[in-house]
Parts: sequence; C-alpha cells; structure tokens
Amino acid sequence: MSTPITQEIAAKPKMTVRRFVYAWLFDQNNPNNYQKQLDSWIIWLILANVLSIVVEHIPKLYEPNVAFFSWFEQISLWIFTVEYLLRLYAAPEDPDFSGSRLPRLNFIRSPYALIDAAAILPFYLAQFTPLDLRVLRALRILRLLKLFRFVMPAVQEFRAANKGRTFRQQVYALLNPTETSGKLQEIIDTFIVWWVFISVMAVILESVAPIHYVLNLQFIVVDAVAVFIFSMEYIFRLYSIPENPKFQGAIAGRFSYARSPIVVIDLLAIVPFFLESLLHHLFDLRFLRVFRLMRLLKLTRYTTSTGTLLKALKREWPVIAASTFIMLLLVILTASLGYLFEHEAQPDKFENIPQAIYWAVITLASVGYGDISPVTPVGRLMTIIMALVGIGIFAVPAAILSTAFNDQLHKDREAMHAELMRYMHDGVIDDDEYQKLLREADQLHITKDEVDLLIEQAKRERAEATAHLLPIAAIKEMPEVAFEQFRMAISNLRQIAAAGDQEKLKQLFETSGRATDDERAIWRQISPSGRN
Amino acid sequence: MQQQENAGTAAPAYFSAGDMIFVVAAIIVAVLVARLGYVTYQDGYATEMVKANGENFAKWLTEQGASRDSDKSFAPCTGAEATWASCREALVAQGGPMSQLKNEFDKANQVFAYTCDRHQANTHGAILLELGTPKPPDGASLQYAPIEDTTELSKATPVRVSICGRGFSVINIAELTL
Repeated sequence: MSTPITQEIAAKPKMTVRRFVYAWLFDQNNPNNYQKQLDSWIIWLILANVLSIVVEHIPKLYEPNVAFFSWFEQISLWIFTVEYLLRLYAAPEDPDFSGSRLPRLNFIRSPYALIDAAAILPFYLAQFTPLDLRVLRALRILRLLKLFRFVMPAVQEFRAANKGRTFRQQVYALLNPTETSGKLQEIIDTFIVWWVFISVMAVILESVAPIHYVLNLQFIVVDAVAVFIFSMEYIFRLYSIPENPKFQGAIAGRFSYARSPIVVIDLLAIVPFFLESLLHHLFDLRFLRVFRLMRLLKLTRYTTSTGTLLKALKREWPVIAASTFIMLLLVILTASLGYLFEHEAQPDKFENIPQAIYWAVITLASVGYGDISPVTPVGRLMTIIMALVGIGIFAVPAAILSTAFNDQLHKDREAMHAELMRYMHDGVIDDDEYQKLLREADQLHITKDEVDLLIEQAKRERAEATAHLLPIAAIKEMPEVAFEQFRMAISNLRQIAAAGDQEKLKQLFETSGRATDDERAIWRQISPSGRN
Repeated sequence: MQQQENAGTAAPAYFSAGDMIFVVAAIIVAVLVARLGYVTYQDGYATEMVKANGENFAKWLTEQGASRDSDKSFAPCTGAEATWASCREALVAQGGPMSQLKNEFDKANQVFAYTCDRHQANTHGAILLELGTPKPPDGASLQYAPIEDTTELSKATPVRVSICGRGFSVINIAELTL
C-alpha cells in the first residue's frame, strides 16, 4: 500500500534508512507519518504497565496468572527497548540533537532519554547483578514518567500561550476550552473523563460481592483518588469561573455558577465520600455509594448530547405536556375500568384504584409482566381496547422527543454551517478557524471528513454567489445579455471608484505605476476625483 | 471565546489575596481527602485482617467438621455442655486453637459477636457465626440466623462464618457444616 510517507521516500531515492526511520516514526512536523499512532500505542502500553503493576499486588489475581504477567512484562520490555534504540539510532536526524557534534550522546543525556533508559535498564542490569525483585518491581513505576515525553510539549505550549496572564486566567484556561488552552486542556479533560469511567466502573463492580471481597482495598484507593481529583476540579472550577463573562463577580458569579446543574452534579459526585468517611460509625450510609454513580453525569460537561436533548425538551415541552396529560387520563380511565370489572373477581389484585394504576401502566406501556391480569370477559375486552389505544398514545411523547432531538441536531449543524460561511467571508479558512470548526464538529458528532466536505460545499456556494458574470461563451451567444452585463459591470466600477479613499485611489492610479494606461483612462472617466 | 478582556485597565496582579483563599481551601480539602482516605484505607486493611481471621477460622471449622463423627461434638467443644458459648470459650481460652485471634479494629472489641450492631461498638471487627436452617417451603436452601449461646453443637450443623467489617457491614466468609 502506498502511503504519503512512502511516496515521499520514493520521491527521494537518496534518503537514508536513518532518515526514513525518523521521518516515519518520530518527526512531529510530518502530518503523514506514524508518529501520532506510535505515541498513542506507547501511551497505552505505559498505562497497561501501570495497571499490571497494580494488579500484581493483588495475590488473588496475580498468583493464578503469573505466566501471563511475566509474558506481558517481557513484551513491554522488548517494545520499550526497541523504541529506545530506534530513537537513539535516529537521533542525528532530530533537529533537537542534529546540531551537536555527538548527537547520540546528546540524546542519551536528554531528560526524556534518561527516563526511557531508567524504565528498561534495571531489568538488563538484573541479569548481571543480583537485584531484589521488589526493587525491580518498584522501578517499573518509572515507566509512568515516560508520559512526560507526551505531556511536556503541551505544558510548554500552554505556558507560551498564557505568558503574562494571571494565575486565575491560567487555571480557567486549563479547565475550559479557550483560545489559550491548547493541548494541555484536552489532556486534563481526557484525564478527568477516564477517572469518571474508572470510578463508575469501581462502583458497579463493588456491587458484585465476590469482586468486592477480593478488591476491597483497591476500591478504597480508587475512590479516594477519584474524590481527590474531582474535589480539586470542583474547587478550581469555582475559583476560576469569574473569568467567564457569564459568571462575573467574585461572590455572585461563583454562587450563580455553583447553582448550575452541572456544578451541582460535580458536588454530588464527591459529597458521598465525605459523608460516609465521617459518619459511617453513626449511620448506615452504604446507600450513598449508589450516588457515586452520579459521577457518570459529569460526562455531560464533555458532550453536547444532553444539552441538545434538554433544548429539544424545552422547545417541545407544551406538546409533550399535552400528550403526558392524555396519557395520564388514559391510565386513570383504564385503572378505573379495571377496578370496576375485576374487583369482584380478583379483590386481592384489584383491591382499589391506586393498586389498579400499576396494572394499567404496565398494560398500556406494553410491558405486560403478567403478575396481574384480567379474568372476566368484559375486563379482557376492555383491556384489548385500552392496550391498542395505549400503544398509540404512549408512543407519542417518544416520537415527539425523537423528532425534536433530530431537529435540534439539524439546527446545531446549520448554526455550524452559518459559522463556516462567516469564516469563508474572506475566501479562505485559516488554521485557527479550521481548528475551531473541528472542535465544534466534534461536539456535534461530525467527522473531520464531513467538515472537509462542508468546507468544499461552502467554497462552491461562495463561488456561485460571486460568479454573477456570465461565461464568455454565453455572452457571445446573447448580445442583449452581454450589453446588460457590460452596463452592470460599469455600474459596479463606478461604485468601487466612488466608495474608496479618493486621494489614495488617485495616488495608486496616477503615480504608483501599477495601473495600465487603459485602466487609468477608465478610472479618470468614471471616478469623481479622476475627472478633476 | 469565554475570556475576560482587561483592555484599557491596569494589568491585574498575577496572584491576589482572593486567589490565596482558594489555594488554601484546595490544600485543606486535599489534606482532608488524604486523611479520610488514609483512615478509610486503614479500616479497609483491618477489615482484610478480620476477613483473613474469619477465613482461617472457617478453614479450621471445616477441617474439624470433616474429621469427626457426625453425631459427636468436635474436640474443642466436647464437655459437659457442648453449647456454642462453652465452645467459644474453649476456642479462645489460653492454649485453645483460636487463642491467637484478636479483633483487628480494636483489641478491646469482641473476637466473636452475636450480631454486627452499630449500637454495640465492640462488635466492630468481630467474627460472627450463624446457624443455618432449611428455608420454607421446600427447604432446598438455608436461611441463617445468629447462633445462640445455648445452641448445642453435638451433631452436624450447617453454619455460616461472617465478619463485622468497616461501617458495621456484614461480610460473608464461608458456609460450612460443623
């Protein structure tokens, strides 16, 4: 398969293998190579190594799987070694080291390379010198430091973009997408999202008794770390929010922000830990653990889906309320008829109307558990009719919501298209505008390819809107149209000549030497200042 | 973009007194979480120790149950009164098979308790023994209730070993026959 990078290599037959390796795997400025994929795989492997270290400390999980962990360790060590050797080999091609006399030595002495070496060397040294296995295991945690290679460039980018800004502005930029946030904010978002998933998974698995029995201590650690992260996030969001124009004011702004639903969710995500830790001797607060699942709602901050749904609900609320009212009427009517026809036959099941409401809802919603069912002929006939009516009525709110959700998504996409056309006003979309579009598109679940298609479409629309002159072939065929077209062009020229700065235009036409004699003559003929 | 513009005003200080309040609050919360997390971990660790004690006790009971005749009490519980109370005393008495057992939450707490009761603080971290009886109507499964001091252990009896863990939550360890 021919990829852009192999085409590049083919175009340069004298390119060395070393140059090829660097260009193929490590060059960050080449958008067509595999650097991003390699980085991504290395990050996953580092995280898998950290997980492996954690699991190895759980005897009940480690002891039955010693062979697997040993195999995983060997593979990881091999991959990290190959990565290190390739980086060492390609170091003379790296602009960071190529300027020095001994680029590879410079690479070896660089902080990232030292961390990489520390992550693998102890295991080779252990082959020659007796090293305690526990020390070796502890040293494996150094692999986590390899992440610095991927995080530090984002930190440097953030520092450069936020130079001269206050501490609060920087905190705000770290926690919210702003023009100066950069990649570091994305990393923080990803980190929080992962911790939401980890903590929610922990809560779910805790409810499985055999798993909780084995991983009790690990669940405690995960919960404490998650609460630590979410507490810091909560405090610093509250601290930096006055930077948002919607929540200005040190006290009023923060108070208003603290009352917003998403921030209340943030608070509910951490409160159970404090209550349970402080009061578990006095009350049975285990039920609070379920509230930790509220952490899942924290993800609404990172997706527009919930916002779209809420907007759809708000917009269609009158219709949904009306259909809910009809549903309510139908439920009460069905329950009353059920009670009327079935009470005598089944006094224990249709004891009263409130009890019959349960049966009515289960029947009308087509759930039909079957624990309560009519036995009299009239009751059964009534159930057939009501169930058929119920199918239609109960489906109405779902259909309304579904259509409204779709409409809202369509509107959001149209808004993005309008934004795109605004960016296209000057005829081009620069890199900043393109990145903004990609961010918006991501929130609207539009792929990069779709954005590119939209841009192409916008370019075509703009070209059509500005192409009011007929093609030459058409003008040849239709002299009348050509005559009108000519007059229109002269009229446009008059407008242009009259609208500009007359002194500047005169200077440009008369003395700059950029206008031809014909152009100058026409300008003199039609321009107010040219005639003077 | 959501960003405060400060054009036309004096450049604000990089770090103000207001900022300090939040940073201090963040440090306090961080310390509090770390402290509560540590205490919770210690409780969890103690629970693990109690679980280990419970597992050892269950293992010992299983071994004893397997090595005796089904119609006789097992060795430590033989005597004039083969009740759970006398048996328990024999188990934890000096030189008894469970004499090394201690409550991992607090040495002053009970080693064996009747139930896990937050109103009786000294049951925290105790081992519980529950007696199994056939569950009606078919009796195919067992239901467990705290074993009474007067319950006789003279014949094969289904029991469940549990512990009173962190937050007075009952953790089942094993079901076996004495």
